[in-house]
Amino acid sequence: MNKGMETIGIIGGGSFGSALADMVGTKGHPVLHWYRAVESAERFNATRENAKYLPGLRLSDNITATGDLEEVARACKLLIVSVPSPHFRDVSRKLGDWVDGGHILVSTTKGIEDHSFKLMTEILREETCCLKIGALSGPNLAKEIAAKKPSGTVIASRYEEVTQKVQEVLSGPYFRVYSNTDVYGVELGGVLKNVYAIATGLVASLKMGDNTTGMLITRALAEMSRFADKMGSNPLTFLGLAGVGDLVTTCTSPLSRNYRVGMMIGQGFTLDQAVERIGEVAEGINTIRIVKEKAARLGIRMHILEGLHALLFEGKDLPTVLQQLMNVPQMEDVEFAYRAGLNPPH
Amino acid sequence: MPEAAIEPASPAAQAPRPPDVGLRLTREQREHVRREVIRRTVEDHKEMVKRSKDLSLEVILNDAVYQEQDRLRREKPGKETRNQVRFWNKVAHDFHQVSEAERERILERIAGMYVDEIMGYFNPVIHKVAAKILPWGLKALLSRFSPAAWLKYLGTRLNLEENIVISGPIDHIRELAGRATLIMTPTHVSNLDSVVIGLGLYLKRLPPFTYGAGLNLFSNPVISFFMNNLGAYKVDRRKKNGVYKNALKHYATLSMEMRQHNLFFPGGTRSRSGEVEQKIKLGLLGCGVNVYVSNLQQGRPDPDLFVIPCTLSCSLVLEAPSLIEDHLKETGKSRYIRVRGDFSRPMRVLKFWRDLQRMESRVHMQFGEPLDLFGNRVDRNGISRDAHGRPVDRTKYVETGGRPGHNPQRDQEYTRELGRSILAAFQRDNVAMSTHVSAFAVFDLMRRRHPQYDIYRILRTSGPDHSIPIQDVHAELAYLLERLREMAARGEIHLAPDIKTATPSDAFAKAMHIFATFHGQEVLREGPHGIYTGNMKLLYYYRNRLDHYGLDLSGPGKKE
Repeated sequence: MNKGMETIGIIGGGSFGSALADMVGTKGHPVLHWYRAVESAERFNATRENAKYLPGLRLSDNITATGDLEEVARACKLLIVSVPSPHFRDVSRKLGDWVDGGHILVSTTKGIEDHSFKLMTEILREETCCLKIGALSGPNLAKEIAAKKPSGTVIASRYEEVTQKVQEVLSGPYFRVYSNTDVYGVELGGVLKNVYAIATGLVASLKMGDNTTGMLITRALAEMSRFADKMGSNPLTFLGLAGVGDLVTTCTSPLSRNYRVGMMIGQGFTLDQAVERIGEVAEGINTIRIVKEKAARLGIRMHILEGLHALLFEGKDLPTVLQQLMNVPQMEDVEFAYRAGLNPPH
Repeated sequence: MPEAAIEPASPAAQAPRPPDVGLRLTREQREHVRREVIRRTVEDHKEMVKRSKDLSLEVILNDAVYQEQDRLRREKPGKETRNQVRFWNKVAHDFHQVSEAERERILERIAGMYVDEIMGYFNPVIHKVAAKILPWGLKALLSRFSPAAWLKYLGTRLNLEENIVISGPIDHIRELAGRATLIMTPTHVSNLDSVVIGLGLYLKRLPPFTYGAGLNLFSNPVISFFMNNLGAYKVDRRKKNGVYKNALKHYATLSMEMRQHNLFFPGGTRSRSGEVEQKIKLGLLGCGVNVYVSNLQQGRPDPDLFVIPCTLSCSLVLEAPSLIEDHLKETGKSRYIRVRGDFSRPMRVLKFWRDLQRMESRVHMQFGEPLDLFGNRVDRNGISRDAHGRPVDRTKYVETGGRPGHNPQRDQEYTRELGRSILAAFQRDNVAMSTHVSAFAVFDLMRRRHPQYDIYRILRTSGPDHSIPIQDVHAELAYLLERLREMAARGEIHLAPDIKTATPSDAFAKAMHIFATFHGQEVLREGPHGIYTGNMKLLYYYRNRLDHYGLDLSGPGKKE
C-alpha cells in the first residue's frame, strides 16, 4: 500500500466488484470492499479470495472487506457501486444515509429497473443527495480483468471531476479508461447488448455461419443506436467501447451469461432450464421484455428484439421467427449517416 | 438604502415583513457596482485571452463592434441610435493600431456604457409622459417615487386579491428571506407578469426582488415607470456580444452579493406557444453558485441562496394573439424581438387591467417549494433535504480539497441539475383552468377528426363548417377533467376552483364566458351545428398550457 493514497470504496462483492477491487488495490490504493453478507466479508479477509465469483485467485492485500456500509461511505469519497440491478435501489437508498454532496458515485451495473425503466445512475440520483455520478461500461468480462488481460472501458459523466478521478484511479498497465459525457447512451449500451448476446448465442449453437453472426451484430448495433437516439442519447456513442466494443465481446464470448443462455436455447433447452443451468442472473432476458414494451410505446423498430420476444415469451418457433426476420423491409445501411448527410452524394 | 416604511395593505396580511435589503442603491453603492462590473468584465476577458490561443482583445473588440454595428443598422433612426452609432464608429476607428493597454481602456469604456444602460436611470421624459396619461390620484403617488405607495394604491383600487390568487408555502418563503438571498424563477406568460409578481409579493408581505426586464417593456411609459421604481434593471436581448453578456452577468452577481433578492425569468422570454416552459436558460441562474462559493470563502454569516420557483397561470393572456403568431413563425424566440407589440400600447394594457377586474378571469401565482442551488428542497429552518427527507450539507457540493472552491465546469452542471428541478416544479405547480381544458378538448377533437392533417393544416381548420356537437365536447371534457383530478390528487398539477368540482358543461360554459370577455367570440363559439372556433391559433395557444401531461389524443374518441 502506498502511503497517502486515497482509499477507494467498492460496493458489491460479485465478480466485477472483486475484479475492480483487485485492480485498484494492485495500484496501491487502500480499498474498502463492501459485501452484503458479513460472513462473506470475513471469509475474504481470512482467505484473500472471493471463492464464489473468482475462485482460485488471490486478490490484492490492500483490500479490506467489510459488511458496514457506513464505514465505507465515511472513509471513501469515490464509491464504485457494483451490485446486481434487482438490489441496486435498496443498496443505493441505504448508501444515501451516509453520503454527502462531495461523494463521487460510479455505477458499474448494467441493468434496467423493471417497473420504472430507470437506469442505475438515475437510481443513484433519486436515492442519494449526490450529483457527481458516473457510469462505467465497456467490454469488461470480470474474469479476464481479474486475470489482468488488457482491456478498456468508458467512464461516462457530465462532471469532469468524475471522469478525471476514475481515469486516475482505474487506468493502469492492462486497463484503459476513456471518457464520455453521454451517460444515458453509455449505460444503455451496457443494457441492450445483453439482448443481442442471447441472439448470437442462439445463432452460434445452430452453426449458421460467420456471415450470419456478422450481420446479426451489425444490425443489433443499428437497433441499439436507433433506440438510444429516440431516448435522447447520441447514436454515435454506440461506435465506442460501451457500444460496439461491449456488443462484440458479449456476442462472441462463451464467458457471457446471456450468450450461454442463447446457446442453450438453440440446443433445445427451455428458457427456464437454461436460466437454471446458468445459475447466475442473465440480465438480457428481463431486458427483452422491458425494452420491447418501451419500443412499442415509442414506435421504434426493433426487429431482432421483437423476434427474441416472440421466441421466448410468445411461444413462436425458431424457423418462423427467423423467416420473419429475413422478410422485414430493407432500409438504409447506416441510417444516421444518411439522416445527418454524412454519406457522400451518389 | 432601506425603503420607506410600508404599511400593511390589508388586514389579512399580518405577518411581519422581513427587513428589506433594499433595491434602490445609494450613489456610493451605484458607483461601487459600476466600478466592479467594469473591473470584472475586463478581467474576465483578459483571462479568456490568456487561456485561448486564438483569442485576443483585438478579436473581442472586433466582434463587439461588428455585432453592435450590425444591430444598429436595423434600429429605428433617432437621437439614441445616432449616439450609439457615433460611439461604435469611434471604437471601430480606435482599437486597431493601439497597444494592449489602450485596448483595455476601450473595453472599460464599452463595459461602462453597458453597465450604465443596465442599471438604468430615471428618465424625465418617460416620467413626463407617464404623468400625463395617468389619473391625478396616481400622479400624486408617482411624485413620491415610492414603490410601496404605488403598490398600496393599486392594491386598494383594483381589488387584486380577487383577481390574483396566490398560493404556496408563503410563510416558509418569508422566513427564508430573512436568512438568505432568494432567487425567484417564475414562468413567463405575459409582459404583465413582473407587475403581477410585484403586486403579489407586496400583498403577501414578501420582500421586493430586483429583476432584469426586457428593453421592450420600457417602451410603455406606464410599465416603464413601474420597472424603474420597482428595482428593475434593463436587459437588451438584441445585444449578443460577449462584453454585454459578461457585464450583465456581473451586474446580477454583484446584486446577489449585496444580498438583493433577484428574480429571473429562466425561460428567457415569454412562452410563445402558451405551454409551460420546457427549457430554461442557465446563464443568470448560474451566477448563484458563484456567489455562494464566494460567500463561503469570505466566511459570510448568511452565505446561502435559495431558489423559489413560481408558476404563473392565466385564464386569459393579453398578448396571446401575437405570441402564438411568433411561435408559429418561429421568429419571436431569438432572431426577432418585437419592440412594439400589444404591450407597447398603453390603452390596451389599461383596458386589460380594467377587464381583469371586471372579468371573472384569474391569474394564479403558485409558489413552489424553495430549493437550494443543487435542486434539493429547503425546509423552514433553511435545512436542505434529499428526496427521502434526510438533511443535506450544502457546503459539501462545492468543496475542493476540503475547502469551498470554484469549479466552472462542475458549477455549470449543478445549475443544469437545478434547472431540471425548476422545470419539474413548473410542471407540477401549473394551475389548469377552464379556458385551458376547454381549448384542449376542442382542439384534440378537431385533430382526431382530421388525423391526416399536420399541425399547420389543422390550424387553418376553423369556422362553422367544422362544428363539433356539444355533447362530444362535454364527453371529452368529462374524460379530461377526470384525468386532471386524478393527476391533481397525485400532486402532478393544480386545478383552479372553476374546474375543481365543476361538471363538464359548467366548466365549458365558464370558459366560453371568460374567452368572450376579452377575445370576443373568436376562440369558442356555439352555432346551430355545435361548437366551433373562429381562431384556431388562439385555441391552440390556450390548449398548449396542458401539453406535456400525456393527455394528447387520449380522450374517449381515441378509444373508439
